[in-house]
Amino acid sequence: MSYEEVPTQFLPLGNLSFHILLALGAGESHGYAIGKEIERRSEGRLSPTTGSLYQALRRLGADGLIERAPDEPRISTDGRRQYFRLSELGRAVVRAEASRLHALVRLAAERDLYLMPSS
Amino acid sequence: MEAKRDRHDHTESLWRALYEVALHLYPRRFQEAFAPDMSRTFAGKLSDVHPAGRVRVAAFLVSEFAGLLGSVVRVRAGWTMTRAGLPPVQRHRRPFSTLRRELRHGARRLARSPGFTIASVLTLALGVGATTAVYSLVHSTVLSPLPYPESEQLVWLDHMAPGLGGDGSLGNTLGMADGLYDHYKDRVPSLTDMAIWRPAEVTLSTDNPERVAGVDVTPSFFRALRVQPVAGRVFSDAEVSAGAPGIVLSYALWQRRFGGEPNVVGRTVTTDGSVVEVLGVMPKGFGFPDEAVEFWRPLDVNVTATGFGGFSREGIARLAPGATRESAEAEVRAAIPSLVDAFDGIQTMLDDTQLQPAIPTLKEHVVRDAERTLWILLGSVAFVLLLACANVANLLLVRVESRHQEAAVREALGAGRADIVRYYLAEGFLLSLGGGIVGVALAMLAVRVLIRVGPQHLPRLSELAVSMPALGMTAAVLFATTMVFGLGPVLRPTSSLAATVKRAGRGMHGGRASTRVRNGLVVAQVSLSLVLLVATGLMGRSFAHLVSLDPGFEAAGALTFRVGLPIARYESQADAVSFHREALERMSALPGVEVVGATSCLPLCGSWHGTQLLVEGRPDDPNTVLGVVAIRRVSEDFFAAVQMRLLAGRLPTRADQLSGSGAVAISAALAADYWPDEDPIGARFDSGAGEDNWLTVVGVVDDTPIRTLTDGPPAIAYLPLLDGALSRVSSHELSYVLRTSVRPESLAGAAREVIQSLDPAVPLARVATLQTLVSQSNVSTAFTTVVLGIAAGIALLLGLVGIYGVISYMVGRRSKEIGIRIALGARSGQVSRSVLAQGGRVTAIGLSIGVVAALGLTRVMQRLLFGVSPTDPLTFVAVTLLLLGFALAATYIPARRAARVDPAQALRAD
Repeated sequence: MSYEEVPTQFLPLGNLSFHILLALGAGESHGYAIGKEIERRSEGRLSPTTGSLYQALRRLGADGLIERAPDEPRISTDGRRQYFRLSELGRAVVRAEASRLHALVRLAAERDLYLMPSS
Repeated sequence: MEAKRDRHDHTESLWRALYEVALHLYPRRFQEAFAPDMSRTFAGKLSDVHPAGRVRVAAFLVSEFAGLLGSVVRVRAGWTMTRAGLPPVQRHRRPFSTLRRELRHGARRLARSPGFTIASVLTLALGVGATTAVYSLVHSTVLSPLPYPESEQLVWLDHMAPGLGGDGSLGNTLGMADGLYDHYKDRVPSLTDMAIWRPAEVTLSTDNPERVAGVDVTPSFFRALRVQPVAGRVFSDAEVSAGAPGIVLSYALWQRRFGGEPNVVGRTVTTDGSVVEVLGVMPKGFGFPDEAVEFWRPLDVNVTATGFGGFSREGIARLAPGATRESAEAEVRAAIPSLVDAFDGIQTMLDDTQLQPAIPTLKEHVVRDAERTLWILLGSVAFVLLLACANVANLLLVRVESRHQEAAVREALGAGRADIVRYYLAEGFLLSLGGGIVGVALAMLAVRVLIRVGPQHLPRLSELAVSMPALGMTAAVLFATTMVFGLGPVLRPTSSLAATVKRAGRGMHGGRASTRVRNGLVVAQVSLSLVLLVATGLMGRSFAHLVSLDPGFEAAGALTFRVGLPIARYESQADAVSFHREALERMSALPGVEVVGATSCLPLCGSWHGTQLLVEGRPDDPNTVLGVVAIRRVSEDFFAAVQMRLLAGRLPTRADQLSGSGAVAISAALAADYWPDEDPIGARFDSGAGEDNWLTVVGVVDDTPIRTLTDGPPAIAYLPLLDGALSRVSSHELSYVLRTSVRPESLAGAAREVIQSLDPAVPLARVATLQTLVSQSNVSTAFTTVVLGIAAGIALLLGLVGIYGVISYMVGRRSKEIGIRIALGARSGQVSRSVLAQGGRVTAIGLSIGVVAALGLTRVMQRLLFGVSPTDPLTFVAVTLLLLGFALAATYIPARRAARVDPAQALRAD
């Protein structure tokens, strides 16, 4: 992360971008699996087409939020799949986005618009 | 179960292939990074969604392809390059999300009526695909410039000889000569970098020898074309005048023989037994004068040593700045008379030939008669595009009207005009999108197929690629059609809410006006189909004529190949002939071989190489100019090997050949040309070169074609292999013909062994059956017939779908009326007759318009036709009846349905 890349400059994150970064938070993964994960987590509400998924992956890559995982032998039926993972910057951006959302949720709770689950 | 699984796999791989084709729409760098992965992801998702049923699969495919196109637009527009944060779309989220919802709903509606969706998408795709593919062909052949810098300045140098009866059509021009090249160099300021060449064939290297074709060119050749070698250099003027040998290789030859080694420059190769240095390698794809050329050697023009020379050269030049073809022709015309001062004995030639320059642009020369064929093909697929438009318009009209009710309800519930428009727009947009994507795939596929199967002499076929502007144009035309006919009914001012609801409520969709539009569309479809079918019928009959034509020899059951002997090792004609005689002898002993002959040029070889004959005892009358006679050298068994018929006299025998008696056979056309009123047998002639070596005509044989089967019968003289006065026609390189009792191809190996056993450094070249050579000469007619046939087939299909669709829609609309009629006692026969009459009327109008249009349009095909007139009554009548029959069949199905209408049900169904 070079010093001018401030995580907050990427906020707020697009819905799909955030979901992709969240999916990669669990470890490196490939396009098909990322898509499945997003579909599962959003209970089908967000189901990106292959085109928009890869377009987003490219943008996140260009912005330096994700990077290609180095090629290494994997246990898979199709070993040539391309794996992506969070970069340091990407990790910081997800954290920043999550705390931004958290602050918003807390604000909503203070004004009685949302009931925080008791922790 | 197993079979079903297989089919499923098959469909999946088909969709995946289509998706991969569509991935090409992304920018190259995006493709390189993601395309393989995206294809895998797509395939994975497709197998996931498959168990959910066909509707889900269809919806998935629509959304995937639409999503792909959307992201292509965004990636290409560079929206994703905005650094992080919000893409600009998000700020105007609402209208987009509404549109997205409409698109999603539209996709669901389309998935619910797969028949309509598939019919529309396929129709659109056929229109886009066929038109784009053929337009691309025309574009890359006729419209796009040749692949040389400022190629519009390049001209072809040629000469006509009206004095010899040459009409300047292909093959009847003289070409160039060393003397002309030398003479024009300083006298024609309109032409710069004039270059000439002659074809050459050499045997390359001694181990694993190979016969390769190339040209000997003047050093100006590369300057004229402005091409640079990719490695090494080309020969310089100084080197050529000094007689320094050298060879420049084609890229393909470099790759094939030298494995693309970069250090090939400076190495030596053996050509025809002599050692030459490799000077350079030309760029990939460079092949001039044609793509078969694999090397360029220096050609030294030295008229002080060799004189004027024969017309055995071809030439090109570049127009000087400001010069035109006309100015060049005028200057050449002015320079011709002064040839007399430069060369001795040239006056006779000038008088005989009445030499005239012919300087077309290089492109005109390259494209030649292919241009007309291609424009006709383009016209025919433009018809297909029109038909596709008419068909989609019809499908949409019916659909939109049947949806009026839903739209009216929406309107009544408070939807604005804009919402209704969006509602219709969504479907039209999705349909054009689907049609466009499948159409692109079809066009790409078609282009690949064309490159593979197109006739080899179709010029510039290797440059063929899908033309993006054409793709855009056809897609735009279809898109506009879809939009206009999809929205037309909504935008009509009369479709007020009340009227729509009333009409919709009564189930009476569409008024008199839309019926008229629909009938008009069917009339257009029928007439367009008729024109295309007539064109196809005429081409088909031409092709049938061509195939049934008697070529004057028996093509089946014979193997041919060429054997060329290096002059360096077989110096004299006699050396060469004794080699060939030994080879012929050994080959005739091979099992399966019936008889073996050899000739300097097979039928259909394309060479008019020859001379005018001087007939003994006939004074040289300047008023009767006789045609040039093509000269062939043949072994005595050649006639038996190709099974050429003897018409008069006898065939030359082996004894004739060996004794040098000068016995020759001539073609019937030569006999008719030179001896119109007398018996040629026993007549004596020589080549007029004053060699005083008379030849005697002993027999007349049937005519055989020189270039194509459709050319008129050429005058040919068949001379013995050795001597016979015309030593200029060499016997070093001969085509062998093996008449076999077994499959001809099976003898190629044995024939090669015979040649190798005599001289391991001599290869066999151009091994082919005689039948293949004949088929190749027909290939362009076959190609035109096939493309037209495909266009006509699509047209017929679309036309029938149109007729069927309209009539069944009409029956559906009239079902209540029909029900009442039947209830009132109408017979079912009467009902179906009235429906048939309705369809028949529309068809008849379409047919009449089509016949008139075809009579006008087939005239442009005249030159492509052979043995059939453009207004051939048989073709016209047969096609009209065929179309009428099909149309009535398409009407009959709905007519029968009408006759079976149950009155009770029809009256209740509201």
